[in-house]
Amino acid sequence: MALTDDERNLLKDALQRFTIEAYDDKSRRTAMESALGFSRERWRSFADFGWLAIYISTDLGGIGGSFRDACLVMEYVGRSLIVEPLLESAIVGAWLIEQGSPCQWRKRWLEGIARGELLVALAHFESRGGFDREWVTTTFRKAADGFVLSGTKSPVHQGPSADLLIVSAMSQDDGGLALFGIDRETHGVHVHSARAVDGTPLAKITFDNVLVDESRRFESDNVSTLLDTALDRGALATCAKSVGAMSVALSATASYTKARCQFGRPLAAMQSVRHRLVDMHIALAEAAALTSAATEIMDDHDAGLSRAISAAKVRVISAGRFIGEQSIQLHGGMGMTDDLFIGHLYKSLLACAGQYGDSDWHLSRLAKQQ
Amino acid sequence: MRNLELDKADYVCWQKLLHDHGWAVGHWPIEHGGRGWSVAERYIFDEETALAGAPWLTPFGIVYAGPVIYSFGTEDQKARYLPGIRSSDTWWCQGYSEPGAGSDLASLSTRAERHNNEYVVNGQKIWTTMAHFADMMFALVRTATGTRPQEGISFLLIDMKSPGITIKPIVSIEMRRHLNEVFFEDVHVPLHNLIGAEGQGWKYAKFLLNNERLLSADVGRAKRRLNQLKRLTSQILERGIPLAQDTMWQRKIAELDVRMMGLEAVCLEMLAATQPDKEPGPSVSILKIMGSELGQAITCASVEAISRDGLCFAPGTDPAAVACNEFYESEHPGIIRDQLLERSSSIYGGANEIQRDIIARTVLGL
Repeated sequence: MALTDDERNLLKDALQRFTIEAYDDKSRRTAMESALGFSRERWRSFADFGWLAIYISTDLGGIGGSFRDACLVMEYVGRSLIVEPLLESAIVGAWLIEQGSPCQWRKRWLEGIARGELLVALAHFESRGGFDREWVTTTFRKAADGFVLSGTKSPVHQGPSADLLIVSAMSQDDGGLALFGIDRETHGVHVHSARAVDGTPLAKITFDNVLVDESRRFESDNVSTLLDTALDRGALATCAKSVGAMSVALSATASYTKARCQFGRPLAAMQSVRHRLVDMHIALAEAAALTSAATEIMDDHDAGLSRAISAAKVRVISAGRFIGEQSIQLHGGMGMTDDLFIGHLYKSLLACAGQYGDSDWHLSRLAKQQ
Repeated sequence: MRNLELDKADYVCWQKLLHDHGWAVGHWPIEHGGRGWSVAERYIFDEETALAGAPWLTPFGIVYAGPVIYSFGTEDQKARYLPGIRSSDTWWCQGYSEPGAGSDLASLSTRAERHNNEYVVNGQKIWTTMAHFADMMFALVRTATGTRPQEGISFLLIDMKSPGITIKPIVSIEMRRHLNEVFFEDVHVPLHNLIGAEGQGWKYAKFLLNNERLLSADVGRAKRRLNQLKRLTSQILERGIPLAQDTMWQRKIAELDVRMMGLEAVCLEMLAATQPDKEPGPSVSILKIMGSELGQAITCASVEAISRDGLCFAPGTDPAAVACNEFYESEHPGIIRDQLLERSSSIYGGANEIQRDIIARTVLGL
């Protein structure tokens, strides 16, 4: 599954046009600072553009794009720091639902995502487990008409607005891992909201003896592998987003150093500044190449996927830190202001670095595979 | 509760407490109301207060304006301004940087023209820390255009209540309003507010910048933050086990510890070599670079440690925004704010690029 070259070019044009013409900084901030943290109106237009269905198969009502196509969208999310929850709903959420959700819900949920009517968040990580993917202390047990689920999930990115939470839990009966699709409005689900450093909403969600209907349990033979594939997609999507953010930061910084004069010449005339920009360019080139290589491996179902994703994540985090920091440094005091986009890019890169495993987690995974 | 956000009253309260013990201006000479501390005594005081997590001793009056006034001011200026600085009854701010004059400070263009018995000031300053709290500003203004940009700059004391001054806050990336733009439109300043000789301001500014750089290693603050990181890693869990028990984190902290020892060793060596009443010389640029880079590394590691909790951060002090942060930074207050703010430590007081140029030119003779 993938878009044809023509379709892909059309998508790229649409993303470019939208982010330049419609996604201005002021409306972005207004949306981000609202109680919801993003704009419902924009979300509906994303649905109209087909962006929310990009990673859903055509036979389930989607566009049938490849992961590479989804990453194209994520790159523009990074370039303009789109605050709407594309990653959580349209990529990670859609993937999990398509691959493992109960048959009777699958089509309905995916159509909901595609139409912009259903927001999804994965409630998997727990605070005592950190980035560990296998750490699940939330439990469920069999009850008369389904299951009873208890535990706390944190952080749940985009949790405050999610209509549907995909929750991982361990069986108290046989110790098996399972996933459930739980409506946020269900009795016993308590959502505590916060904002991350990049302004995006996140939540700590407590499940207090929540009654879950039998039909809400995901139908997967291997839930742990399914989760792994979803978290890997999340990790790689944050790489694509970071690459977008880094490329904007680099070009803005290069332009600034050409325009800003001190000591009677532009900053860019100074060798130390020029070399720094070159190092930023090299870091970005490496990060983008590793991201795109991992994306290809994913789409072609080639071996070595987790290795490629972890490699991309590690180098993207390091490039993001270097480019983000140096973009502020070379902008001087201006770089420290909330007015300038640079600081927002920096905070977004910081937030991305802490999602779906940090550098240490991915390095450890690589080390184990040696 | 650690790492709280402080207001003017908190700073003043702390400084008045110090003043009661004679410590606020302990490093001033005895004849000006200080204790005549040696450089080493002052270093110990700075380190201990920072280690204890005491509020920042705002330097604008105590470290910058005061010493310039008692070194270069008239008897009248000393009598008028020093008591308020000592007791923290007068809040000072520093009018140096301008939109067109950052690293290249000497290119500043705010003008002060002489009309009869006063100066009329026009122009703009930027990055003025806590100008909105200030009663007085010490400013560099252009009174003449010389052959070199450093010529024709004068050091002027300006009453912030003067008509024609407008203060506009700048929100910084850590979402605070401590920086400002200050606009001057036909602001009248009495001639007797000039420090020293007209056109000699650069000399006094350099004296002051050196005072600033001596402090810039911030050893005490770095130590406190490193201790804080160690505390964090003993509390934050990965796979149910504190980060502090993970060999990867043990090495990370050991490396920061070693850098801390390096900074302290360089600092103490320079301290021992500093002659009383002598300028510390260009080698303090080394401290500025080492101190800021270590501070950034430590605060980055702290953010890395807490990143598994989702990097919760309140976007500003707007009540609506705070209300949507039900568990806002409850576990680790100030960690992200400090990390973001620390990015400025390699920019202010002469960016690290400038410090490296100074070392290249004056220490290595390149």
